[in-house]
Amino acid sequence: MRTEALIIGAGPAGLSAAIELGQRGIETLVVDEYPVPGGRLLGQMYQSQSGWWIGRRVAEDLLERLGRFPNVHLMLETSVSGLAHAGGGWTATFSQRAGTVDAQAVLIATGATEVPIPLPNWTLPGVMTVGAAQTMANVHGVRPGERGIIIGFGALAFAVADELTRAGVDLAGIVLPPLQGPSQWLGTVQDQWRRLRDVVHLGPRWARAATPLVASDFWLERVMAGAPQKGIPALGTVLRPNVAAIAMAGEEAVSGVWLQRVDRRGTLVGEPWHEAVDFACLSGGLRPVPDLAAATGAAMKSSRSGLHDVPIFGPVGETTAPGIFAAGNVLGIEGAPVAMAQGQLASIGVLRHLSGNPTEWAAEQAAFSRALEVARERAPLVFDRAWSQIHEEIRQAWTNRPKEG
Amino acid sequence: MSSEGRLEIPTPDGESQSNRKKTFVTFYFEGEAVSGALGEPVAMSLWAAGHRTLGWNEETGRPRSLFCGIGHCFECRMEIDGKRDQRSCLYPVREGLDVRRQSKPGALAIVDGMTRL
Repeated sequence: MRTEALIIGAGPAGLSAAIELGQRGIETLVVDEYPVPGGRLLGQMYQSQSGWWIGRRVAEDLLERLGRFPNVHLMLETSVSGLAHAGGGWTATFSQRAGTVDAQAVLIATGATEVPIPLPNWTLPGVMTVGAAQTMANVHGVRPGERGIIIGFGALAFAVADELTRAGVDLAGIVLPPLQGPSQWLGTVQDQWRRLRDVVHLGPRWARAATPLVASDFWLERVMAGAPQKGIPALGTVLRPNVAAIAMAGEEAVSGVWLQRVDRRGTLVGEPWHEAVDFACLSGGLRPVPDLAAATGAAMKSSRSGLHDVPIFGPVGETTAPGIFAAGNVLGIEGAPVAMAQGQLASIGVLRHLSGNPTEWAAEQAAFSRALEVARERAPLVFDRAWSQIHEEIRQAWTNRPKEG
Repeated sequence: MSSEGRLEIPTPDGESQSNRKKTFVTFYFEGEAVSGALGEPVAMSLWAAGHRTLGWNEETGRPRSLFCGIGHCFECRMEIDGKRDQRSCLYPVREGLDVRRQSKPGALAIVDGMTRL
């Protein structure tokens, strides 16, 4: 099969790019592994400055707009296993699907994956990532269990706690992850507590009032270490900032969790105790999925932890591999409105590559760049403060990249 | 169809999140009839029906289940319609699917690390 543009990932970035390409008459194929298009939009539901964000409705709107363009095709249940440079374009191969696709330009919109928290017995059925619980409950209407616990203060922890409790699922609270052994990359207890500053505005009014207090590390430590062991009411459950999960318990499936108190330095203190739960959500945060971009030979910016590895990219999603573009969370972890603007910008890169005219669509580029800035300003959540710094370094790396003659 | 494994998350405006209505069909898990929503991933229907162990780890024989829910971790791999190692968190339910768990304990034939390859 041949196409002008191949988009890998039918989430907010990929679908937004496809609409722009569709409008401009480009033969476009969008592929995705999942049986339903929309990516992680499908499970999102949170309050933002401009009201409630209900991702499934956003996805349905994007798909309705996309349906108007007979030059755009959607192929689901399709996993791309390779991209090879061939004849000036790229040949995509798939797992468990015969045939290949030759494309002149490829947009990689493969999104993000969750970072696991490997605590003892974490392979028991019932231990899942917080995103899996969101997909289960909010996308498919399946009850993860009768009583759960959320482990880790990743950004999704709070949104999912809110969704689950609104659906009547009982939660034992949101607790710290283990901070020793293989979970050391999660940082210190202070790093975990600092994450709470970025979500204070989601809490009850009295908690928002505490924002100035927790702005200093001195008070943050004392407030969090001194909180009652039963927790601080938030989002229909309790935040337990000085209680850590140290192990899961169960034989054939999760039947409980072992918890222990931590002090101001993050040291485990006192005796561990057992609480009955039949599911647990691990919230270790998100990292990009840049594997396909790396496979094309595009220059990557790598990180010591591996959690911030992204392709070096330009203003319209260009990578250093000719005809390979990227948009959305594969470039760094931000919200869906940011991914949508990145998808629109990358469509300009694809259009210019296809026409060979590097200056066309300048007005559209300016409008989409502005939309990206607005989306960043209005973002209700900061997933990881490291990304703004990394993006600045990438801007410099792009400007200073060695250019082919 | 049993509804206890299902839930509805209310939206702030009280409207349904989606206009799409579910159609329920029957498929087979280890030969036993299970009801699932047409097109939803097999793992979701099984979880809603109370089936949590989706397979056993090839090395340890310990029970495994859905972990990431979006096809990244491969922990939910199952045999579906005769094909092994299908990610049941992605594989859509259709009427009459034959779904089976893999690597039953006791059926392990691993002698050393090399034979795993």
